[in-house]
Amino acid sequence: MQDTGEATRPWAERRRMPGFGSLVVKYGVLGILVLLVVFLAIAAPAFLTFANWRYLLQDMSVATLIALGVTISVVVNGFDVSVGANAGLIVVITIMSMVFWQLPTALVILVAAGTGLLIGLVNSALIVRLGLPDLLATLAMLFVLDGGQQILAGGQTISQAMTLANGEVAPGKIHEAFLAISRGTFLDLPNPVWIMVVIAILLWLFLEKTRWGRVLYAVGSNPEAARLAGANVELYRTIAYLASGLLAALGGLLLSSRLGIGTQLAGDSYMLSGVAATLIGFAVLGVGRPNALGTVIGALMMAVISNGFTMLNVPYYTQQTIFGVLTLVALGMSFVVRKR
Amino acid sequence: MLELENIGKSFAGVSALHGVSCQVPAGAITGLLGANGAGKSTLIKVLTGYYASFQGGVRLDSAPLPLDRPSAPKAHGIHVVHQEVDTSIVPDLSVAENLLLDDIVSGRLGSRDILRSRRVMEEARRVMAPVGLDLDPRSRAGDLGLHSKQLLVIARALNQNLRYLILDEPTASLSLREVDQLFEVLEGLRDRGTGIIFVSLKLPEIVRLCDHALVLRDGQLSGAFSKPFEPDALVAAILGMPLDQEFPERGKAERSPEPVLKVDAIEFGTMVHGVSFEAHAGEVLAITGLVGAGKTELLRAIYGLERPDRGSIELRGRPFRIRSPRQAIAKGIFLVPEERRSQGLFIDYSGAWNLAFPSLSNLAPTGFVNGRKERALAHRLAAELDVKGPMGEPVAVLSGGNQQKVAIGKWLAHKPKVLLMDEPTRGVDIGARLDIYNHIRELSADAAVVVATSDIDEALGIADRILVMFAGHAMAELPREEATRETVMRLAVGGA
Repeated sequence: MQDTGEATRPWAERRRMPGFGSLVVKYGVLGILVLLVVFLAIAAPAFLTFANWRYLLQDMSVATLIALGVTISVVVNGFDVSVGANAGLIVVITIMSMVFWQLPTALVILVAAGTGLLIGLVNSALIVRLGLPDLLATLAMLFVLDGGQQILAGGQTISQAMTLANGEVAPGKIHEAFLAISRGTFLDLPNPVWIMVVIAILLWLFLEKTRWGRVLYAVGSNPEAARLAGANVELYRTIAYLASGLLAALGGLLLSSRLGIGTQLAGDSYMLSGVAATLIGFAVLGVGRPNALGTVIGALMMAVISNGFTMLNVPYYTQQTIFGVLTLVALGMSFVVRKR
Repeated sequence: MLELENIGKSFAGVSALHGVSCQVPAGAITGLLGANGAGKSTLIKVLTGYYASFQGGVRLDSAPLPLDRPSAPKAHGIHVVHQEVDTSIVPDLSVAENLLLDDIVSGRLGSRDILRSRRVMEEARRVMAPVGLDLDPRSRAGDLGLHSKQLLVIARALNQNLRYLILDEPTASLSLREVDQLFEVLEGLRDRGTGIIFVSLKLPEIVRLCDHALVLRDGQLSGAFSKPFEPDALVAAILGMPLDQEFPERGKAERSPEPVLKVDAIEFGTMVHGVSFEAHAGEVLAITGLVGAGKTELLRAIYGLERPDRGSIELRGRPFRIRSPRQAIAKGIFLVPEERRSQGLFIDYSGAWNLAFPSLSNLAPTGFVNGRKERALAHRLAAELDVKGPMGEPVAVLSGGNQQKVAIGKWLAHKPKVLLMDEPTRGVDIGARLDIYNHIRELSADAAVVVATSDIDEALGIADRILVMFAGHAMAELPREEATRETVMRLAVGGA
């Protein structure tokens, strides 16, 4: 409504608002996360124990790595939704590499990395070279990879000593060394937790502190201005999709080594969680753009909800609802307040 | 009569508009002037119901006018032609559908297939006629030029109950002929009683078209004028002080004996036909001509953004081929592009971030950006160009003139050999414009500066030599002393 005449009150309110508003923008998501942890610590005594957090962190490591891949693609203003299917394919391929083709562990890792990079390369060729819309290209890739892994595995779950179609038993074994990637520990924390921490820090440094990270953000913000300022826009966009492909493959590798069997479509759920973590990450500390730290916080929030509410015997569908509502609140706070 | 009483609006405690009271009569054209950031846009947004709340009130013919939502002023016959006219047009709908959109939305027209009926087409033609538009009503609205889109929006408003029309910098990207046409339409509207608010940064247009002029400065009304205008008084009200001069003194810089840049018979598609010129350090070369004469395409070809079909380019006597801006930059050739928001700046990032961007390889020899060096560089460049405004905030909050200074300033750390500038003062207010002219003059001491501009007075004011283009051809190259407004204008429209 129009306020006429003496406008002293709105002025006073206005002056206080920005302080409070920017606090909400900056610390809204972190505040919700802290409140969640406090609530769960009170409601479920086992929640805030080292043993549980060890488990929680391990649980979130795959999702975080895949989410970081999505984040890079969003940094260049693209979108890679093929990451979950990519990880799923890696699960099937790595297990098959050992069970069927009897490859050594080092080679299995190379196959995983190569497959991830190849997917990234095809995505970038479709998007950067041919100019297909990112969502369309990677969505099509999602279906190709989801179908592909089922074709590869012949519709079966691949496992050690499985019976083949011709009645024989699969020749290869799943190596202890391969399983140790996920199951081993370092300083009492599972390896995947360390891998997640190291990659997240490296990626954060790369995106926030190096000039190459700057150029990635510049390409995402305004490709034309970046080109006119001398950036090789195509190269940087290609690099972004290669990185998301590689990170998804790493996630798939960790998942595979934890599962120890080639379940089909094991990676599918990580696409949505990766997108969600990236978007929640926009709001962390009021950055307003995709960023590595924010994505980790987003993934942590999801892990806390699923871990904590499972302890409270809240069914998964209710957890989903809680997560959805909290995401809305977190994003709503930062976006609505920003627009004022 | 539209009466504004004590209008005020503030954002986050910062006042953008304060105690503005004025009157806009019907049947007259009222110019609204002011530097970038003076509050023109905010005032227009108030009048078009963009803000749910603001201070003060507006009366229409003595009755209070509700302005708390965009539909409110429309219901009272107040319509606006935005600067970004595309926001008012549905590109995928036909001209007819756009013209009659309000009738379609309200249900007066348009169930099922009658949208293509003869009656609708005739209706569309009838609506277009008063603004002199003669388009195929079936054509796609998104394919129209800016000028036609503006007229389409005006026609659409006319078809409703148009009483007051607000135009926000409608002439910023129009050719001279299109400006004439638009003015004719506006004068016609005025004569039949419509009140018009005309926002422009171009003083000559205000003087030519308007009956009254309102000037805003720092969010307050700093002057109200009526015909006949004294341009000096308008300028003083805009700047808060009289403007001593419109263009800088011509420098005493020595013109380099050999050209730094030599462009020979560049041919590019249908836009550039065999244009040649030389640019020397120590002088400013202006390339002028109408909008669409091929100036932009010529600069883009030199900068490696377009692949010329024929022709050669020499830098300091050495022929070379530029295939990308990267290569141009490596040779010391820089471009300040035409559209600063979409081509020259990263609008969501800070001034410091933008200023440092092209210098990252120097700021980060190891790859890691040295934050201290970066801030120092940004600070130095901002000071050098006298950029006013917070350097840590997104450049989107800066005024047009200051944004342009950032777009220019980012190259200054590189000691340009050749600086190409495309319409460097478009959308820049007169105060900042003189600053930019001064910088162009200073830069030309060590670099060959090539300025493409469709503003002939600007070309005459800043250049040492003027190349006039028409329809992709170089018509003539004139030393400043021999160029007059008339000769340049005649050449620019294709006369010999």
